[in-house]
Amino acid sequence: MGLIEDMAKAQEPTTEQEPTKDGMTRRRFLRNAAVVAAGGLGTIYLAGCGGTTTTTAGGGGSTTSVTSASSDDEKWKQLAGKKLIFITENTPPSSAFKTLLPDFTAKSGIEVDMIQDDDPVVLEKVLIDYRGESKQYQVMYDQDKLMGGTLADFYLPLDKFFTDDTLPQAKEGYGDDSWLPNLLTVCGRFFTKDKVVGLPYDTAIATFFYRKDIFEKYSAGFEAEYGYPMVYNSPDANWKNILDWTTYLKKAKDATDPFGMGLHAGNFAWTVQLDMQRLTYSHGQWLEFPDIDDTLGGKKPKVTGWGDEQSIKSLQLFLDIFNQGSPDALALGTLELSDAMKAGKVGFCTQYQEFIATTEDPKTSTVAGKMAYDIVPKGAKEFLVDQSKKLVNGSNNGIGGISINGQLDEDMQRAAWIFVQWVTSPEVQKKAMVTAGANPTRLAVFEDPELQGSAGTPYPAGSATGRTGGTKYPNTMAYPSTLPSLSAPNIVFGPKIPNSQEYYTMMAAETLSMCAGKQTAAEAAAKLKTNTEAFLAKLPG
Amino acid sequence: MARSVSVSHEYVEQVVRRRKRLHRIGNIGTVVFLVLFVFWTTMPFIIMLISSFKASSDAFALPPIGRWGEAQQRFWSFKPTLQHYRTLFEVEGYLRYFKNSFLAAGGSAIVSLVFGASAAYALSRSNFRRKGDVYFWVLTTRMAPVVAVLVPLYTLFKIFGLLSSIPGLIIAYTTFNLPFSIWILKGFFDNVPYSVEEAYMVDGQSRFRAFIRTVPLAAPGLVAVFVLCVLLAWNDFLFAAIMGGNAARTLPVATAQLKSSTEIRWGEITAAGVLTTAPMMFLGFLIRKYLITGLTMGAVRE
Amino acid sequence: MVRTAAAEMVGAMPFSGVANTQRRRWYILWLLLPGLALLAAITLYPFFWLIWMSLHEVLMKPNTPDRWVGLSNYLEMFRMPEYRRGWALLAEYTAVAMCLEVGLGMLVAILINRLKRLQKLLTTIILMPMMMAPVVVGLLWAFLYNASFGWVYWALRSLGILREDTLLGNTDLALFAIVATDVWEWTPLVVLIILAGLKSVPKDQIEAVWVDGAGGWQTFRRVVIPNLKPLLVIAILLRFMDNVRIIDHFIALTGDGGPAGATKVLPIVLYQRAFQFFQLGLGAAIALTLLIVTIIVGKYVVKAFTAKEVEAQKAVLEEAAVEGKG
Repeated sequence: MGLIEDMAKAQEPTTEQEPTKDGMTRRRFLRNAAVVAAGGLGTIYLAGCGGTTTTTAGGGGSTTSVTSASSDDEKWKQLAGKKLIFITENTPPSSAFKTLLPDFTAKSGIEVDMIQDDDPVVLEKVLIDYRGESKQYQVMYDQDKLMGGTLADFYLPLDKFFTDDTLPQAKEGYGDDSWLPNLLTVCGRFFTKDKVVGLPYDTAIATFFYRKDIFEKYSAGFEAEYGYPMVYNSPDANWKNILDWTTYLKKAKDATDPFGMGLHAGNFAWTVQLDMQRLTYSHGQWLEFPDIDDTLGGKKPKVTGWGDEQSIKSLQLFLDIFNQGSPDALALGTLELSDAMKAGKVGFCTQYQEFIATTEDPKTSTVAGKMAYDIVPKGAKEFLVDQSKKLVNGSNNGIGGISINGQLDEDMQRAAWIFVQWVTSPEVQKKAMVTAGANPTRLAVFEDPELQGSAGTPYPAGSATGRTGGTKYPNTMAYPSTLPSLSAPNIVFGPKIPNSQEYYTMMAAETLSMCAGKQTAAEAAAKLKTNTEAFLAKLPG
Repeated sequence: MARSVSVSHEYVEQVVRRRKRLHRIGNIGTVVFLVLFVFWTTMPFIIMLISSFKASSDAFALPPIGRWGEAQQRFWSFKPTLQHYRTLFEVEGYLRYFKNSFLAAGGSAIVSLVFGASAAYALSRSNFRRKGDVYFWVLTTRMAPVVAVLVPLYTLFKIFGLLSSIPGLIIAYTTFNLPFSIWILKGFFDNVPYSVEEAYMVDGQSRFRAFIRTVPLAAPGLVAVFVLCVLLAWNDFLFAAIMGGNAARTLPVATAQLKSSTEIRWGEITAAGVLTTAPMMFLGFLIRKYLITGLTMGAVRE
Repeated sequence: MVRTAAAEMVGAMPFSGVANTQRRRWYILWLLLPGLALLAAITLYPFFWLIWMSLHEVLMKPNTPDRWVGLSNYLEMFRMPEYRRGWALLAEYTAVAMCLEVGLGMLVAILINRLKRLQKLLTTIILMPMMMAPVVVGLLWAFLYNASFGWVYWALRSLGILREDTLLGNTDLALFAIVATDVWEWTPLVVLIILAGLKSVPKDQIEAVWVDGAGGWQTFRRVVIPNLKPLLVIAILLRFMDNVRIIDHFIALTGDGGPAGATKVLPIVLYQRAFQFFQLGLGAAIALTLLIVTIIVGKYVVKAFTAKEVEAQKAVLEEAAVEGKG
């Protein structure tokens, strides 16, 4: 056995004992015996499909048990006294849910400790937990591409809970239709359709942010030179327009006005990959790993699209836009790009919907009230190699699921489920929207009339945005573009592969090296091909 | 004869005048350069301090390039606000981080001082063959890349349940504070002549009591080492970031986390910077006389 | 006079010739043991773990033992362009930072030494940067260098020193920007070391050279520099030890590696491989190579320390001999 595993197993204090072969722990058996002996109030029920479920209340010595006919309150409180640790991202949605945790504890008697960390740290801690089987984290955030691909085997399949009547359930159910399009597959199904291992928890949707006032200011001059106005006519506004507008602004803008397109070209490798992917997918739905399913992912892809003619053309387009943009681009990762936009140094960019809240906050942003939000640009035929392929508004995002530790024993699984179904329920998601302007994954929340009512509205010409007053749900300003962004043919969900971080780092390094002038687009494409193939060869399986 | 004397007299005067002029230019040059150096050294602090009292919208406002007058005005005239400090304490719970930093740094300093003093005393009063190797080993502990020792220490701490705890941090900090204190205290003990202990022992005290009585004579060294251990531990980031977790989050880690995933909260960052640095500046000022001795591991003594 | 550990050691040799050696040894052991045992536990264990780990590969599955891979981690490491570049950048960073710190430090120390008054005030003021946590220094300078609202960036542009609209986004300048923050934080240390050295240059040596008719520069060259040399060595080596270890401000300023990896020094590569990719075997191999190089250089540190001690020892003995005769 491994040195580390030995030591970990020997010394790690676990919250639950390991189950014996028939699924019962010694402790629970003794407890059951005590219950029976105490007057036959305890009963063992079979519930759910495919599994023995012993339902006894924990803590406090109460001996009620739960059936499908139990009252709601009993169902909620059946595992009162348990404690859950939920490890998640350091983002506003999670912070919003954190403020609502006392509600959950009041309702269920289960205490939840939410630990927030950066994504790589979450991944690291969960991985170590998984290897050492220490069951320290019961519920975890599962970022679809960053973590899910690597940890899919670790998560508990949730299907059995969907129809379990002895547990509290959301009345909307958990079918694919109750969530925004495709999200359940993206967050919950990895490599196989057979089981669901996570529920959609939050989603950051790629949206085009732009300075409406700058567009209006330079439109006339631009049209005189290029023959068409500087107007973002979605959904047809395309990447060629982006290149033209950026080129024009660079040479014609006033010193105090912003540069054109902001690309995610900074230190966060994953957002570089996402930025490039939107561009490449827009042109013929080009995929980095064409042989695996886009929503399910694959454990070991065999080929990569890098190196082909389309990839070279796309890289060249990225480079051309980069060269016309802000000179500071290489220092602007996603966060810094948002800062630069707020400070008025960048005129337009594709950014994630959750940034709308801070961009519209006059306390930190000099561009509040001047922005407009729309769907991401479409591919342009000038950059399409195979003209028979489609041009789409290539969109992608990081979607966060929430999963349960598959190594837990029965009781803790159920307690974890009670929390998971609570935090993904429409009521809770809607409440969280107010606190931090997160993004709902439940269709019911999305379609809520109050939220729809506060969504972005068309802007009359001549004024910056036409909006008056602040909105209670700033992130809904991008709503008109949200559903199309999440649906075919625009959305690309993958690549869901293991060890994705390594792939992103390599891909970003080569792309940015090209942007820094150290290699041409063709050389970059060739390097990407070789490096990706080496990466694939190293994947287990 | 008289002529040559008068020539040399004038010549001497010329030389003296030239020397004086050079000297004055040298003096002016010195002053100018030093003023620039002091300015460069202190300006970032002033900017940090002032920005921490500026509302975010004021802090983000840069004048156009080259307009120095406007820059002056924009920098100095603003409405001071305590909002960042208030956010840090009320929303972020900075009081807890202060407590954590204080406990971890102080605890590690005490442990390092106690264990280090005894080891240093022994090294000072002894003369055995392997001494050079022990010195070298003590010094190498200060050379290891922090990241390199973090991973094995992380797994070790996980086994003993020391992650995310103040005692864990104390031990982690002791990994660099203990060798440091041994090294410096040995020098201070060397300063105390052995005749002092001999006097005690002649008086009939046991060796141990002589040791206890002698230690206070190196008091300035003990204080200096204590403060320096506190300083090194307080300012640490990587150990606390990886192993401190949530429960034992220290000030530097909390400050770095103000770079959240949707925003870099510069206003709060400057305020947190002030809060994290101010106590250490105060301590540094207290022991400024021994600072160089400490930071050079005893090689330079005044 | 600058006194060193060795000078005192010469004076305080307590046990030479003391009887009852057996009891003495136990006494020493009791005092040494707690400290050294603690130190051993927390320093030797990582070292052996690193060696063991570098020969294995960690598999991310439950209950799977680490796989023996022999030297393949090292082979992979040497083949990684990131690794070689990491060393090159680290060397560049360290060399430039140390040259600037020592050069500037010496100049400032000499200038401060010329002043009759204000010395104490000045030395107290320049203490300030050293008291700051490196990660906070990094964050502060990230704020100052920011092309959208950074005052240092603005000043550099307004003075015409910086032509482009970016500092941290420039692949050529980013590393030097970080060097500048290190120089800002630690030059005061060099200043104070050299100042202490300047004050302790033996007056009689200066007088001897003056009598010979030397001017200011010659005095400096023939008397001051030789006396300062050991201190310079110590300053250089102390800074070297810190420069190859501390990456706090790198993380705060340019995160994972700067514009197109322009600031991805080797400790950052290690940080990424170990904590983001979980290639613990490869990470351990990188860590060991870093450790070995630092220890080799460290041997020179100790030589410099003990050389000074030996020198001082000799000086003290000479003095004693002279006084004895007189």
